Amino acid sequence: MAKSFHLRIMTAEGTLLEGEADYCHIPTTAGSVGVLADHAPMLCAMPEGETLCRMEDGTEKTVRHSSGVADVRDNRVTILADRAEL
Amino acid sequence: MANLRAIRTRIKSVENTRQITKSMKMVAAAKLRKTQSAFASLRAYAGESGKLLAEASAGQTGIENPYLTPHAECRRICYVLIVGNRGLCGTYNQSLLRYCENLIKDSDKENYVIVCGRWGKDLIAAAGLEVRENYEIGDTPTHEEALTLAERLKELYREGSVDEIRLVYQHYRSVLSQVPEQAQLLPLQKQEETGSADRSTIFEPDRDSLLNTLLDMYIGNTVHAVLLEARTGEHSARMTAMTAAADNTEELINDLTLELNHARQAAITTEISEIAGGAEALRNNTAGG
Repeated sequence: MAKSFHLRIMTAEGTLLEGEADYCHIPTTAGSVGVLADHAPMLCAMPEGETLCRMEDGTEKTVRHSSGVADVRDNRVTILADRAEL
Repeated sequence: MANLRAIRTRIKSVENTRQITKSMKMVAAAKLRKTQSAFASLRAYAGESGKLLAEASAGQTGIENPYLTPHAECRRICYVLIVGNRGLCGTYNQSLLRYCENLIKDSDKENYVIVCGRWGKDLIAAAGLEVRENYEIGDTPTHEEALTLAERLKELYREGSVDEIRLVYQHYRSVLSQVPEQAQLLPLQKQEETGSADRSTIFEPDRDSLLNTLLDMYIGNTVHAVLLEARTGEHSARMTAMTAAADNTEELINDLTLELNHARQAAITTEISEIAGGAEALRNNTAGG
């Protein structure tokens, strides 16, 4: 099984999604980025769009969100957006 | 007996008041809890984005951002007055209005006043403040409302209509105490750099645009936090005021009940002495006749 990382999607109104994921596809202002475990530290700005997350148990979740930022480091991915919904 | 009836009516009406103040207290308490939990979620979010901002700006000296650069000359100050949505909360609104009035009086700059909240449009006008814009903010301010306001403030600053933006609100110290305060929103004040410059981090698309995004978030979060703080204060002030009012009605009811009992006792005594007097007179009559 693929190695997983900790994923957290936060908005001002609370944490929308938190759990172990093994892949996520983040749209950034410079083009989309696919993140797997052990990704290099990265901080990126995201435009409004959709982030696709494949959780550890195989379920896929699509999160629609406003513009925001994504922080990737030490196998933790934190996505901050003013608004987001599953 | 008129007196007895008057007291009873009075007790009834005080009891009704007690009912109302008690329910208002309960409503305020529920709203207070709601704003407090919204505050907790925002704090987590703002903390996380603040951390990233510190990291992205670490070691950067010449950051070009319109919100970080003060205007060459400060001619006009924008005051964002955050009043409550309703009255019946002690001196919460009045003391804030007084504070804002003094701020404006003491400054020799032009002013641009924006009011958030439904309270006392006529009172604010009577105080001589020239209100340019009005915003409706709910009892539990949402991020949406905060962003709308923040967007407008940024626009005012960017186009140079105002040179400084200050938020005037009741700082929440505790449930029992709120203090009027002003906080400068724009231009942003540079903070102590705490983050360490981690050279290995990849910035997408580049550090500058990332910083701009983070600063935008920071401004939105600051506005939201202040709105929530002001509302938390309002609900606490109302809860305190209504608790005091409910306690007062309790006391008043006790006093009135005491008065009622006195009056009733007096009435009974009078009645008995009248009957006794009447009986005495009747016996005397029979004896005499």
